Amino acid sequence: MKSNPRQNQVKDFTGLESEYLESIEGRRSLVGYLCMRTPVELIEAYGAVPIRIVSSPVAVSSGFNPIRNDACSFCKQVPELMKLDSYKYLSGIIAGSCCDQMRRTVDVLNETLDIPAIIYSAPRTYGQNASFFLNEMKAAFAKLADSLRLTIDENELHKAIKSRKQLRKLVNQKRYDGAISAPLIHKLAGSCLPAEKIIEFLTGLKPLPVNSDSVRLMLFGSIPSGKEILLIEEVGGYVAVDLTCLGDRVFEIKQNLPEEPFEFLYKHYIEHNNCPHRRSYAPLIDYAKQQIKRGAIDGIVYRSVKYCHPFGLAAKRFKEELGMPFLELDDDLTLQATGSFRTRLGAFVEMLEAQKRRKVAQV
Amino acid sequence: MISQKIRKLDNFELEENPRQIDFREWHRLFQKVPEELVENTRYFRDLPNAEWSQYLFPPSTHVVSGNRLLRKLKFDNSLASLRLWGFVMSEGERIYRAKQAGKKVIAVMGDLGAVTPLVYSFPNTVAFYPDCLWWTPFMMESKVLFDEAAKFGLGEDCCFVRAALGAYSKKAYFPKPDLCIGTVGATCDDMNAVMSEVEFLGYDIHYFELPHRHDKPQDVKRLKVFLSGQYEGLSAKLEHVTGHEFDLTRFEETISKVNRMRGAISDLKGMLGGAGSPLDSCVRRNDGRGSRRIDRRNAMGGIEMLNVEFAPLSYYGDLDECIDVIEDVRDTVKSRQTRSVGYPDQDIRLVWVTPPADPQLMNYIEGLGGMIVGSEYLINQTTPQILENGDPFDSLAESHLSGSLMGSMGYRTQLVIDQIEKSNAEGVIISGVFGSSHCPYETTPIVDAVRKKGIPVLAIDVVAPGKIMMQSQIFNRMEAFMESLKAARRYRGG
Repeated sequence: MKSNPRQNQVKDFTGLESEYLESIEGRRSLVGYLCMRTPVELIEAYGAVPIRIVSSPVAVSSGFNPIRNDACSFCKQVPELMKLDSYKYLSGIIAGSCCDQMRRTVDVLNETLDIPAIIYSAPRTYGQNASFFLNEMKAAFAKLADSLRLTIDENELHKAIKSRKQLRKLVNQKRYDGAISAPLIHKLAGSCLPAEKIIEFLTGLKPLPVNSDSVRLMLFGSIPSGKEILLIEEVGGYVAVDLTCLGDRVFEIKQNLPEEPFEFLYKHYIEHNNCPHRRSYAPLIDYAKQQIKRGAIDGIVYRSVKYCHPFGLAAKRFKEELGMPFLELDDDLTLQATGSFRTRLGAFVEMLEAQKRRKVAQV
Repeated sequence: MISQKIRKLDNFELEENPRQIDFREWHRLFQKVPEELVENTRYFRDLPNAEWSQYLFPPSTHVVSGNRLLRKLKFDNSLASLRLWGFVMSEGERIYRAKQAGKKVIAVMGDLGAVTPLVYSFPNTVAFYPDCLWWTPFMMESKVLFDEAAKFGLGEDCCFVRAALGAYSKKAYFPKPDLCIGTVGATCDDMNAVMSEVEFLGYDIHYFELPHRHDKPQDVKRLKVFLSGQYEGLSAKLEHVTGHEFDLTRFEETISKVNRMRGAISDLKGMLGGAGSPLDSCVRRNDGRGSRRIDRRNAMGGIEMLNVEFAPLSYYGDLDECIDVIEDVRDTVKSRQTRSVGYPDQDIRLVWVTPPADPQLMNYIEGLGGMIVGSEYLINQTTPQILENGDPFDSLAESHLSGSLMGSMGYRTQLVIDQIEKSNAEGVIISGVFGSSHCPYETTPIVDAVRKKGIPVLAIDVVAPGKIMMQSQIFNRMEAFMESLKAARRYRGG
């Protein structure tokens, strides 16, 4: 059977992660975190390993769930995820408050798990009183550390920040060169590995073969489940830009940030976080427009998780503002949705291919 | 000069005994209301020669202007209730009049009553809540506002507050606000989405950031300092919009009035929810003349009380008049309880959780024998007395910190439990909204906590107007619930 270099990338990286987790087993605390408003460098500086809580097709609703069916499908899945092997060894959970549902999800975890689940305030608007929110973030981490008997190592913090900066730069460069596939970027975004190890892995990556006839798509929307990229590639599309919560947005390089470590982390993860739960949408729309230009995008696949208000209720607005062919998918994170997604993605890609052919013919 | 007797209805009653009547009966009964009373029941009494500001009309008047649901509702038969309905239903007209009269009209969104005292501390300023337009599609039995919101992508996955977006877009439900204030942060996502689209419609929004409350005593101080800063920023914005400087004396006067209103509402809730016994609809009270039986039958309708409890959100556009309206209702209830009279056959004590956008549901439960003796309508922030002599912004911040939604689910659950304990309720009804950002998370913990207290709960989702089949299922569940409560009472009674 012919080997697929894109799949091999993911396989190799997953292997590396497993090895790492085995090597630290029982020696370091695993701290789960949700969303993009949590500075992983800070978790690392406390000597813990950051584990991003992400959607999984394996988590199937089993028995009682305190969250009702009309909640965001991802938030509703989180208590179920906690029963999986990947998360059942977590010592604690931390998250910066983003949308109302995520805030309440952490509250549910706090009530249902016997590990601390801590949420800290983060502003919805831009340019807010930074010192208040920075202190909220620090206090939350201190509280978690206190529960887990961890202490911060300032040198590790500096080192982690420096390494993550290098990682962001490298990821952007390799993405631009076509050496990192979209499925791999999801893995990188949620990886528990220290930045140095990821850098080491990425350094050797060579540009992947790309079919130049493929339509170039931007995946946008709520936290992905992993299946959407595979489906897009299956129907002949190529995800050139990924603006989901586990995509290129995680590696965005933000300019003019302060040097002081905590201020840097606050500005990077909290103040300059572009998510539609923030008011207003303008910075996210501007960023999306830049990425569309950079990635020479032909169309947008906008996938929102069912009942995810920030992305779901903004879909029409983004469609209008971005002014491109736009396929909107509403995912309830069930396997049953896969078939209809495949059909709709197939039709969308075919339409874009036909459009592309027409353009070439006109030229 | 309007006499105090007319400003206050002075317990003038059209019928001796309380009962619930429909809009036709009100139409007939209205003929008995003295002309002088109709002429002098006015809003904006500060404006000279405002002949147009009468508002004491029967509900049928408001049916004509599109509020078709009024034809189906049951109203309390007191003059105080008529005045309340007239005042509430004329709010839309009032804010248009305010604009015409040169007052500043401020749209306040997302905080449900917390920032309003500051808005009214500025002269010639009125506030209104676009969020409250969520009941307009129900009152009008029309999906026009929902359909309009859907054009912007806010469909059935969004709470009924999306009607506010429809109204902003239609430009026919309120005048263009001089300022829009939007509270974001630890609030609902649905209203946040509405605000985003309102911005795209060209409205400038002053955002008020509400941080998450951890519900730990040690967090209060820093949250208060932060919120105080938010109030200071809002005050500066209001100074700019109104052209008036913040005036401490006027602020203290306003807070004193707000506290008076909040006090009257608290009295009312206390009277209606006073610790009665579920086994006996009468309690004994010692009033110095010896112990005597007090009838605990329902002395005021659930919808009227909903209108009363929502008054501190916007004061329905006129703070002074609103206080009188509320105090009239309070005096009516007091008089009824003193006379031991109430609606016949309504004595199953219920706590209502989350305000129902469809007021019919309350009528229906009352028709089945329920009386609403307690409530948690997501507006706990409008209940505390605000400190009158402290730092103004600190005082507002402190009051704001009691908000229903800004903290943990445990906090809100406790608010519900408090209401049950205060009112000795026999059952709880939770009327949620399918797809809203908080109901899917709060419902189960509240249901669990209430059941642990041994109190039966009915959790329903309010059905959008026009979905008759689904609504009949809700009615059916209500019937079964009330049957079970009656059976439980019979069982407990031996």
